[in-house]
Amino acid sequence: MVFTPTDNRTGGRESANAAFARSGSILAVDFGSVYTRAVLIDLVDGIYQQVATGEARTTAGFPHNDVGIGLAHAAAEITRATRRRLLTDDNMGIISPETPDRKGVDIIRFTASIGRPLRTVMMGLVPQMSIASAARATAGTYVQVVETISLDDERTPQQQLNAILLSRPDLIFIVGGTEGGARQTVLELVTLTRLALRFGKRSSNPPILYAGNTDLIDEIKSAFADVTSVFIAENVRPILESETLESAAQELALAYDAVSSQRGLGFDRVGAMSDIGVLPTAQSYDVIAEYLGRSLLSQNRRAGGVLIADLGSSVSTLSAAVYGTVSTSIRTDIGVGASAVETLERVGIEAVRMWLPFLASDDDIRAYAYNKRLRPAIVPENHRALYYEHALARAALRKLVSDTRPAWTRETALDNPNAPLPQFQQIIGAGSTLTRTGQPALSAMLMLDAFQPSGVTALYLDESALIPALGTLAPTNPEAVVQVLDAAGLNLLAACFSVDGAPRPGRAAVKVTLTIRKDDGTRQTEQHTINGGEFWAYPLDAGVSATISVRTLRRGATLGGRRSIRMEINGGRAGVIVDARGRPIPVPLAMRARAAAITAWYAQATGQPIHEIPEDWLTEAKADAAPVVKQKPPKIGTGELPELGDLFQPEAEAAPAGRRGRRKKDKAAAPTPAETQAQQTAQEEDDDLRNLFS
Amino acid sequence: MTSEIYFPDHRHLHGVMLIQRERALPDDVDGSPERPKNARVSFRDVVARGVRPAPYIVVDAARELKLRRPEALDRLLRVDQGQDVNRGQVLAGKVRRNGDPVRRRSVVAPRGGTVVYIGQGRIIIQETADSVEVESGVNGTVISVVPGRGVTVETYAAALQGVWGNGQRAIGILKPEPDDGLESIFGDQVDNAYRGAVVFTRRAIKAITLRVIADQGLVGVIAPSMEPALIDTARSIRAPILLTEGFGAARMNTTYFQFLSENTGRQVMLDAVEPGRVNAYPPEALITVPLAGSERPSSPVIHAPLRVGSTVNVISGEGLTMTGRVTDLPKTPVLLDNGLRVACGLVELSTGEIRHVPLANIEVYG
Repeated sequence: MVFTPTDNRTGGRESANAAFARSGSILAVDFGSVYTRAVLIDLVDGIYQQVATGEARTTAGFPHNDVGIGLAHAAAEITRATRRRLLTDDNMGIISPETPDRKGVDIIRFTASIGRPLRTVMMGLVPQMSIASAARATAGTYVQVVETISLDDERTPQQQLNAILLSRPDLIFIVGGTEGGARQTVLELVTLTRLALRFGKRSSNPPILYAGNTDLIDEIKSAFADVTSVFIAENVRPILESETLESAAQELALAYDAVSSQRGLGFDRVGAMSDIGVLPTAQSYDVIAEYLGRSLLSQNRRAGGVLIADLGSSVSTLSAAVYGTVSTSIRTDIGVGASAVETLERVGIEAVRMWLPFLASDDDIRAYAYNKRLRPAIVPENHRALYYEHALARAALRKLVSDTRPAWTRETALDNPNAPLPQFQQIIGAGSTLTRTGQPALSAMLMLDAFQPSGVTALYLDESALIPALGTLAPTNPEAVVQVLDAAGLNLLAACFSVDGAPRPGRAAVKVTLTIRKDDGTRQTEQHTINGGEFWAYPLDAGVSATISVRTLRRGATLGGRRSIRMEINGGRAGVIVDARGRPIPVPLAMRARAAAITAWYAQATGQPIHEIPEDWLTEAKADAAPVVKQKPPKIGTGELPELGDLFQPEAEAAPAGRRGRRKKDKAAAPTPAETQAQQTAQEEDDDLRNLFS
Repeated sequence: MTSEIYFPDHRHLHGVMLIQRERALPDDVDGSPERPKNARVSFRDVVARGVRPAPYIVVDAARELKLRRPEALDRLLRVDQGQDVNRGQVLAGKVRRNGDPVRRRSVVAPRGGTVVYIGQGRIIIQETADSVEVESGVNGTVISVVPGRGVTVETYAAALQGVWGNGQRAIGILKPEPDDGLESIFGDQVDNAYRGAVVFTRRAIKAITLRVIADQGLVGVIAPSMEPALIDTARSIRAPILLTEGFGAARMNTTYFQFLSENTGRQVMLDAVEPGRVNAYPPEALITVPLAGSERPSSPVIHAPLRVGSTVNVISGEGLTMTGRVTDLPKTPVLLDNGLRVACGLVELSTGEIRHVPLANIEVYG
């Protein structure tokens, strides 16, 4: 976050070159729950550029349980493409620094979105002040706040102590007190925390992150010196009127790395290869969204915002820079692979069904989600599976947006959840669900269906996990960030022109005039009329420039409030798109109409023939759907079986004999080492207890 | 990621091999291994034990006894710091001859636990912690011990891995279902032929199947699929249920069925663990197979890339799998019928059909 966007990209490059020393080659690797993506960045003619990318399946799960293997596979793919050796002889590490014969790299960066979020206890004085700031500081890290303790907490100290103990946190985040402000109340929180950790009887206590009144730093360090490790950050609320989040966010990332490396999966070995360990992927989205948003604003004060959406298998992240403010939302319960079942629970079955062009029972949709959880990487092989996949993705993204948008436009969002989003000039899709659709046009359509932007929007894809890489480089190698983005690091999908309002289906809604400049200097002009309800994609090749004029033909239908737009555009991988379906997109409720509309949109986006939905898909659940057991079984003793609930109730209550991790009350449990230690330091704790409970 | 060198997912379906399984305490439990390295362990042996943190209770004894000075509590104490106490046990004050508390003149422990602090007129008790035990789950030998976490157990067995389990574990003799299906054995009479057996079926589990499992005292069931609506019921059944295909109504892959049929009558350790969102650990059936005196099977090969000739498990989106053999690995993405263009392998399925299958939908047996 220390780099500065520039008014002019070329000028920015020059100034950046002058300001920052070069560091050489960079290998950045992002560990997603399904794929591990590596990107090699190096100086080419004095300018940082993306040289090659590699991708492999993540190997965090069975049978490998070691992310390092996937890292080696991805690095080997880069080696095959560039003939540049990256791996050490035993394939267990990355050669660093770069050797004179161009083996290895100078800088290694890792990001990860694997695993469960950090269970965090947040402690502070005032919920609306320091704790609110602390919550914002966690935006870029996979944090689940399991307990919050503040002055407003009406629980007794005993209950607060138990709350900390029983929540089994991975991290305790303490804030509170402005600079030179409150001392005693913060120290009481520290005493409570110290007691909880001492009584916790854990082999390794959770680390403490302190970002409160800096006058207390020595006392904080001293209090936890023999208990756990302490991360110290700048006060998140140095004065009441302002907050400082960057330092806390960076320390949170380090704490995330520290905790991750203790969880196994090879993160300890991998993290040791980099001087800053493994950082949370979402933090990069936050950093790059801020950078892109400021860049746009610096070019044009009326420019729209930037939205980055990473729809992953188990975790999803949405970063938005709106009107100069950045907000990042991480959802560990929204994803279309390992989290598919949780996503379905959050969005509801109807939110998925509304995007399906065939009849599907609740069981069909649930079975799809459960199977997706079991095999998150699976690619839809037929139309039916494709429709399920895309329906769940749309519903997940829309849920992500609807839950997050109150932070962007409070009044609008609260008044009408279907109100148009803020004007986004750029929308960037990330995560394999959006980047691995198999066709750029499908990626574009999914993003338009989910976000439903209005006016002019440039859609991008981050296929090689460049944003996670650049986010980690921003604090130390800002010139690399500027130059790689400048060199078209992200793939432009399409320039999109989206019509607001409700254009009437079948009636001319938009007139498009496209003048394409060809390589031989000639110009080719085409005119098209697009009907309401249609999705028009023109195959303007990537890199080809054109002048486009788009004019709406009906009252009430606008392009972000304007009747006509004329501008220069570049072709993207999905060409150029005019979405004349209106906002919100009117997805028909009637089954046959919906099937006709959705299949038509797919055909219009991809240029392929319309997939005719088989008649039996529209009239009844498919043959392989849930068979209904109509047979009434006999009860025991009378030739018939009892009700399911009657039958299983006693067994459900009984302790299962074979359950893994079986529990039992162990009254004769011997004192643990922690208890013994607690007794040895009784005098010290007596003081703490006396202070706490008196 | 290209088809030139692609490292696919692995699924165990193997005659006999060396198996190593880590048995560790849950993340939120601290404890210690119970067996040393090189110890022989059987299926039900506890290999690690730990406790979950328990809450603290503050008893304001001085106030309850209406003492003017907190220090006065000392002479009324009936327990010491560090002492285990039972619920209702007198902590301080007067007791009758039979040991019962004198009402209003004594304080009792509201719950069982350990006295961790006495002072300031207060007695603090930590409730008795929940003990957590981890079983071996296999008959084998401890080959490594991780302090504070658990052990790794090694054994030799034939193995079949499924995709979902109901969280239970059992050991029994492997038997095929009756010709008319599992549902045909319900009724008043318990069919002794299936009591104590781990039964495998090639049909999807229905509600009535779950009733039969509970009613007939089956030790466990290996089945291809089940409707998701039955998940909660399946979890409540004590017998382990392992699914080989997924959720829905898919029938069992012929290769799985053949494998199980060939091992009929042998002892099977059914570990129907329910895979979590993180660190998915597949449920599996480990079958005891007699070994020749000097025979020492090797570990499964899990680092091999996909090759032409590999025997693979092809997955469809509807929880259906089929065995096949890779006949070609095209270097460029292939356009599928649904319009997707993805990296594929050309696979000859067991039905004789040859088709392009996305690499992500291919698992290798091993």
